[in-house]
Amino acid sequence: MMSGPDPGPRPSLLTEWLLSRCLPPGVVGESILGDLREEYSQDFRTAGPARAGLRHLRRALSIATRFVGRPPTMSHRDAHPQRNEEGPMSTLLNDLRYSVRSLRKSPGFTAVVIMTLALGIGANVAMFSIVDAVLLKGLPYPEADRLVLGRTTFSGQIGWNVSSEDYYDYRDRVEAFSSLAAIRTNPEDVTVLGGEEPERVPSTMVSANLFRTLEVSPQLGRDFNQEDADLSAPGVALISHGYWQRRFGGDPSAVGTTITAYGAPVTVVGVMPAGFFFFQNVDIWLPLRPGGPWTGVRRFHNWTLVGRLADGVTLEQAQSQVDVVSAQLADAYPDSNKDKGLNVSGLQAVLVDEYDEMLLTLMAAIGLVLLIACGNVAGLLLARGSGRARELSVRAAIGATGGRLARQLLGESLLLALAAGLLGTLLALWLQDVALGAIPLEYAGITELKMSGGMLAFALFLSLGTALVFGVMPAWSGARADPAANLTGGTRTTESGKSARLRSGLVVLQVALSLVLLVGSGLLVRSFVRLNAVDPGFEEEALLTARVSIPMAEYPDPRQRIAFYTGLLEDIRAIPEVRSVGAISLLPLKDGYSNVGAWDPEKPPAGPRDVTLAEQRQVFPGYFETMGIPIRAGRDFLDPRREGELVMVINEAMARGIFGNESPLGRMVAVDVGDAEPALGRVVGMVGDVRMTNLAREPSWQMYFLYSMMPGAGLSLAVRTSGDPAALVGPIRQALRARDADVPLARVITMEEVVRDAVATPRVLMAALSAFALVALFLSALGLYGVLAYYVVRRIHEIGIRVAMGASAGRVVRLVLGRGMALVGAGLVLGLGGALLVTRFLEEQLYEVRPTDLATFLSVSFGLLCVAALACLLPAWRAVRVDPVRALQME
Amino acid sequence: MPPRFLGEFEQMVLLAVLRLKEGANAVSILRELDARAGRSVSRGTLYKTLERMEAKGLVQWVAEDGPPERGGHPRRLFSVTGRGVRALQESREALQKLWQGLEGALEES
Repeated sequence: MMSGPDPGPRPSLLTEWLLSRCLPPGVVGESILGDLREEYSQDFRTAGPARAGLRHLRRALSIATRFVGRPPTMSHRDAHPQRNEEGPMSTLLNDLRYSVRSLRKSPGFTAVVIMTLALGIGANVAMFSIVDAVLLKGLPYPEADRLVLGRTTFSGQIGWNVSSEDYYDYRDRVEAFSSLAAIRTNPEDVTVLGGEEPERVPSTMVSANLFRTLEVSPQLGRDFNQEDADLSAPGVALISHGYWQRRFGGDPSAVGTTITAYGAPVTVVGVMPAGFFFFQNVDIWLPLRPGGPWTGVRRFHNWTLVGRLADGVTLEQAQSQVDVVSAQLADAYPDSNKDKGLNVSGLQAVLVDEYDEMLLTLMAAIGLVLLIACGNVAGLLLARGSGRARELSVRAAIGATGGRLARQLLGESLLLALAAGLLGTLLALWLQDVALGAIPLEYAGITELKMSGGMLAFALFLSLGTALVFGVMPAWSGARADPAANLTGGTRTTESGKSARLRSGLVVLQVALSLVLLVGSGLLVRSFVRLNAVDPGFEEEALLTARVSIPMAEYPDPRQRIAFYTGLLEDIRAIPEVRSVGAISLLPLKDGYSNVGAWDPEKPPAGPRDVTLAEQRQVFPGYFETMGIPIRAGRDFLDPRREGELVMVINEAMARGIFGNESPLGRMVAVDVGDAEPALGRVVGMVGDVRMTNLAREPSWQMYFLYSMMPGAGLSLAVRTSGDPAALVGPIRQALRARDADVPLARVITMEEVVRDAVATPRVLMAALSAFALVALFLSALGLYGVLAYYVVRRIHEIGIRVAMGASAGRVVRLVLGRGMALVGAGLVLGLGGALLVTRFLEEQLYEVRPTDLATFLSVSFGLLCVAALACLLPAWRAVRVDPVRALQME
Repeated sequence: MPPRFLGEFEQMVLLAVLRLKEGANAVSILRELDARAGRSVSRGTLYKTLERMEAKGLVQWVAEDGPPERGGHPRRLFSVTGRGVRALQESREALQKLWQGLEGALEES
């Protein structure tokens, strides 16, 4: 045998480590490891490393199978050869078999537990899949983390839109972007001709390099190229996959066909892939052209900028290059670009900002619901454990160790949770669709949700996690069962005091968690009620709205457009049910915004940063009356032919802002119209404030002009009726067709629906959180009921004796109710503390309600107390009806 | 009092330990069994048997530092106890009584 300082070759570390786990500790185990090492190094020398390794493994296995899981033979008195001893694997299988058998013996219990958990897990998995898609996964474009958003800043304040001219300069001068693209911020419906019927199709304009910037190619045909961006080039368009299917039936020859859009012929050059979505749900993309629409003035900001960072360039480097260009532009065009800059942020971060709070709030809430459900299941298991105390005691008495019993009980929990996880995942697939219908996520580029690996992993994680949460306590309590007491005792001792205390503790926690959810949803409900009570500034009842847009190519002369709309409004006014008709360039809460600078010509602003923006709209006379917007002073517009100069109507906020307490009537207002000199308009009327873009936002400055003074292509109609607004759609469409069969009536919707849509997001949040809170309340009430019902059964002797001794029904009810209310009270205190900590995260979602709103806290607590009292009453009633004779006989 | 009967494998291990005198360790026992009796024994069986016989008081061991190729793990040197020797003797006597008068019959067949 060789000896020397060299330890020689070593066998596989993993094998040695695993083997050392099986061997008895101390010299015995150590020496066996040493023996194997010694044999290995001899084999290594004589037979080579491969054979030596194999032999080592075989020996290790031979030893491991004899030693694993067995206590060493200690003395000759118990030196039985260990017959039929099970290996660890078969023990596990036996436990599992036993678990399945015992669960099948109580199918009702098993079903209730699985359903409860499946609901909780399903809702969580569905929510997770949304959070995963929106917040975790990133945008569905290649290397989306290199995409950035460029937003104009005014004196450091981040806005959104960028002017076309600034865009061209940034695109050409900033090298940090491998590509910088622009998309028109407000898409609009365009009338498309060429099919059987004229149709309104949502459309937008994009820079020719947008799709290359996103690194998405058309599935058919070609992308825009640089020539397409030339104003003199023939018109081209890319269409969406959906539109290609609808309009062309998916025919590849659609590429190359000519359609009419904006009154001009454009050739379809390509079809975007299915599911492609960027910012806007549009079907037609047209190239942005210098000198084309929405371009030319640095003061007017209509474009959203999207860039891709060049390789190796960081966001900070890009920002500093952009800042240099911003400074150059400020020098070159001080009138428009002084104090103006461009903020560069990660695209994903900005888009997600729209949703993250709502989604995380919902995720947290649904997580709490699952926790409460776990509490219920743990309570059920504890109760079942009490019922099985005898069974467990028998098993303990014939030699099952506490660890073995705990393992088996935990195994049951695991089985339940895995079954629930499976069912929950199926449920989640359905819930995903429901959630997607309720939460508009298109903005973040998500139009559909699929089963994902992450989702499955999360479902598994939740199943295992819930099994631990609800299973550990019952397993621990089951393993500590005292055989002697349980086998000799009767019903009185079947639930140990400890198990009862555990269940009570669970109920306290459940009540506390429910209260947190209830307070949260209560705050949102109050906020929603406030928001719904906001006066939008108009009367939305019995108002039908629709959008009409005539092609400029067919109506190039402003007088033609004025004549068209004047005639159309007269025709509609002649419909019998119509009480009045109005028309406006952009309808409040529906059509987006358009604002320009306005000021008192006697006090012009010192610089561009001092200009206040005012919403500007073009209307037809009669708009205010139709909408129910009150005229506070002066008058409505007259017939255009009778207004000699540029006249305007402003809202109260603007009048106050410019003229203070003086009357605005007859005063002049300067309006930035994109020329060197502002236009001057005379105020002829002052109207009430209207919530133009957002119900929650205080009304801004608003000014109205006559349509005839700036006649655009599109107008929104508002028609007030004496009857059902829906009944008007047909007659209005007929009137329009009589005027021009190629102009469709688009986006027909009642004003009430417009207002309802404006609060869609807060409504979703409120509805979802309220639903979660109610489920939580129900589960907690169920848990409370279970604990009390058991309490009554457990103390049936005592109650029987009390009744026999002449205790009144009131006393018995007080006993049970007192017990329940003590638990609820503890839960309330805990929950109120928790709610105070948590509700401030809701602050941004609340409208005119403070997160610590006392009324909400009080009313919710009271409501919970009432429900809890109901849950206590049923067991109390059962206690009152206890028959003392039978109770005392029960054993 | 020693156990009435030893199993066959127990007897073989005890005899191998006796033959190896002071040098009896698990590896040399395996080699001795292989060389003398032609028995290739699984490691698990040997170690469990040694453990069992130790528990019965038939063998005992002391630990010593092994050569470096053992990676610093100790080596157990086994010896047969007086009780083990007596058990072997009893087993041999019992067998010899049974064998008496049978040599001829076996040779003829």
